Amino acid sequence: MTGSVKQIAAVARIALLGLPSRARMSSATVLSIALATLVLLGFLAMASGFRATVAGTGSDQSAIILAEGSASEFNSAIDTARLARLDNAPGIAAGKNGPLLSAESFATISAVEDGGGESSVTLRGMGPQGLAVRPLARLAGGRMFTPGRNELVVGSALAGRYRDFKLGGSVRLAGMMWRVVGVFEAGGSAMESEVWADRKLVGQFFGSSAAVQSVRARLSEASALALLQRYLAADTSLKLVARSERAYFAAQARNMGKLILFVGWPLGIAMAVGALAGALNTMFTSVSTRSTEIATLRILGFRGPSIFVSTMAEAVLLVLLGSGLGVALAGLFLQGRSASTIGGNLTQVMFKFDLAANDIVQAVTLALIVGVLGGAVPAWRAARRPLVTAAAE
Amino acid sequence: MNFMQRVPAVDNLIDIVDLSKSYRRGSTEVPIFDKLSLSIERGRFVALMGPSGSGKTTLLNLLAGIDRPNSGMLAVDGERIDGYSESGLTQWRANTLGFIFQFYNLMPMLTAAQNVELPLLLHRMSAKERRRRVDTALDVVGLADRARHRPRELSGGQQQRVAIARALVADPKLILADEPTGDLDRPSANAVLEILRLLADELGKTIVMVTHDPVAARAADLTLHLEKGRFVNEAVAA
Ligand SMILES: Nc1ncnc2c1ncn2[C@@H]1O[C@H](COP(=O)(O)OP(=O)(O)O)[C@@H](O)[C@H]1O
Ligand SMILES: [Mg+2]
Repeated sequence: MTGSVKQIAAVARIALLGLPSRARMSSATVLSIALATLVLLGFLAMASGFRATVAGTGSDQSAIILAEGSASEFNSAIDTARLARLDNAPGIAAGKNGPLLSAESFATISAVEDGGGESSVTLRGMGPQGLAVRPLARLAGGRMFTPGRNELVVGSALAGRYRDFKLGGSVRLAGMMWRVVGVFEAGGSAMESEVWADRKLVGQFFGSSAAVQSVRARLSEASALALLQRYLAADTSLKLVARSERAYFAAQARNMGKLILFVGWPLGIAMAVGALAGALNTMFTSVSTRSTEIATLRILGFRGPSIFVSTMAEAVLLVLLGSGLGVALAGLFLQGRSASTIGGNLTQVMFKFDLAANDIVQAVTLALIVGVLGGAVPAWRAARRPLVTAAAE
Repeated sequence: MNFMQRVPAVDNLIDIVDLSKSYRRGSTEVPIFDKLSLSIERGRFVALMGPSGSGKTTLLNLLAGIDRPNSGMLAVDGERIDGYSESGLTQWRANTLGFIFQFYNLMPMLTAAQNVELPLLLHRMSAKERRRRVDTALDVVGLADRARHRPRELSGGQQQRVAIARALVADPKLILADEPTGDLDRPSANAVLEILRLLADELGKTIVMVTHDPVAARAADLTLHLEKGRFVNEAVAA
């Protein structure tokens, strides 16, 4: 095995020096890999960004109480009789006017974006303690709504995107004017995509069927959750379940993140398969245009494995160029870009694309698989082709 | 090797005994050689002539270890190669053989010197030693001043001379050439033949050259005529 490395390097060099003469096909392969990488990274970054946003929504200091058997606020309903019995529940922090509880329900309203498009926004009806039960939220400007008045407090993500939702602005909803009296922040979390108003008015004008869907409670301390849970479990007629806000949103985020990946991976793989067909074609063309060259080298005494490895090197180089380009494009155009999603149980959530190192590793791995698969068969054929037929050319 | 006992005292580089070769075409066997025998002395420059389809290329490919016989013995410098595996033949070619093609088969993106260097990459050798050998080989073919030129910057005759330098640079015992002047004009062809003559006379190389050109054949020490897979000048064939 004299100088195998030298041999491979020499053959690879010849193959790569010849690349410019095969520029058109090769760059088509590079581009198709770049595109597949970009699409896959788009979805991965979306899922990462979404999870980061939603997972940050919850606090351990706060509990969310739903009807038994409901996975989310959406399909939960709590009647007023049961609601009253929560006033005596243990573990809930005390405020000036009794325990820090907020009975809530929500409706979906459509809002006109500054750009002109219309989208759904969650209008959350809450009690006067709605802000106090949310440790992560704070007013960034203005004040909390006054119960009984047509007043809104909007999340900062919306305030930045809709002219109507600016502090001091007015919006026409359900046939009447509503004034924006406050803007709240919640650490960039999904909560910032909500609009808040008095629950009684929301129930009255937006026809949300159940009077109350969930109850938010400020815990006296994080460990008090167990106390509250035991209390709810003890009374089987109550049929209510408490979870920490953090646990609740983490579960929601997992589902939505999974949904994004559920779409993203098949699409990414479909594009990778398309790119694979292109790569195969390119490499077959490459070895057939180089067939005289390869046969000559083998007649000179270059070994089959060197031919194989150097042909693979060409394929891998092409896909690495392609996925590098894809990653660069993703970094340039996707990273940090805002997006929003409608659906799940969270209505509209705004989040940023977040390219994680792990996402890049996955996309590059997919490209490498394409390169290895696309290079192997042509490389094998180049290395094994009978020399008699090759020499005749 | 038991065959050593059978060869006569003459110093042969090539010994072929009862070599048979046939190709499958569909369901029928097409015989090319049936028990062909031939010996070529070391240092001889042999021309191989014959009508198209007579088996010249096939014989050259067998001698080059590119193709394998169905039966019979094929030895080069006392080494039987008829039973070698493909990788064994590859190794053997790197150590023993120089091959000259009709259409030069140079790597278009490499310079003349880089083309000539290729066979040396198959041997354990320092870069300095490689450079020295490449310079010498280019000198032998009279192209020392063209070392940095690429094939497309050279005439056909010059390209074939680069290919000859590549064939001799690793100091092989045997040089095979398939119509090396077939694509050249008369003066270029003569220059190529002169170099081949020199390789035999000065460097003691054994050369087998397939040609259609009687002028080329005259440059050789002797000419073998193949017809339908047989030598017709019985005097030379063993
Ligand atoms: N790989 C092959 N498969 C089948 N038949 C072949 C092959 N190579 C050569 N032949 C046949 O063998 C005969 C001799 O061919 P060849 O050695 O190329 O003759 P020459 O070089 O003298 O023109 C021809 O009839 C040719 O068709
Ligand atoms: Mg021929």
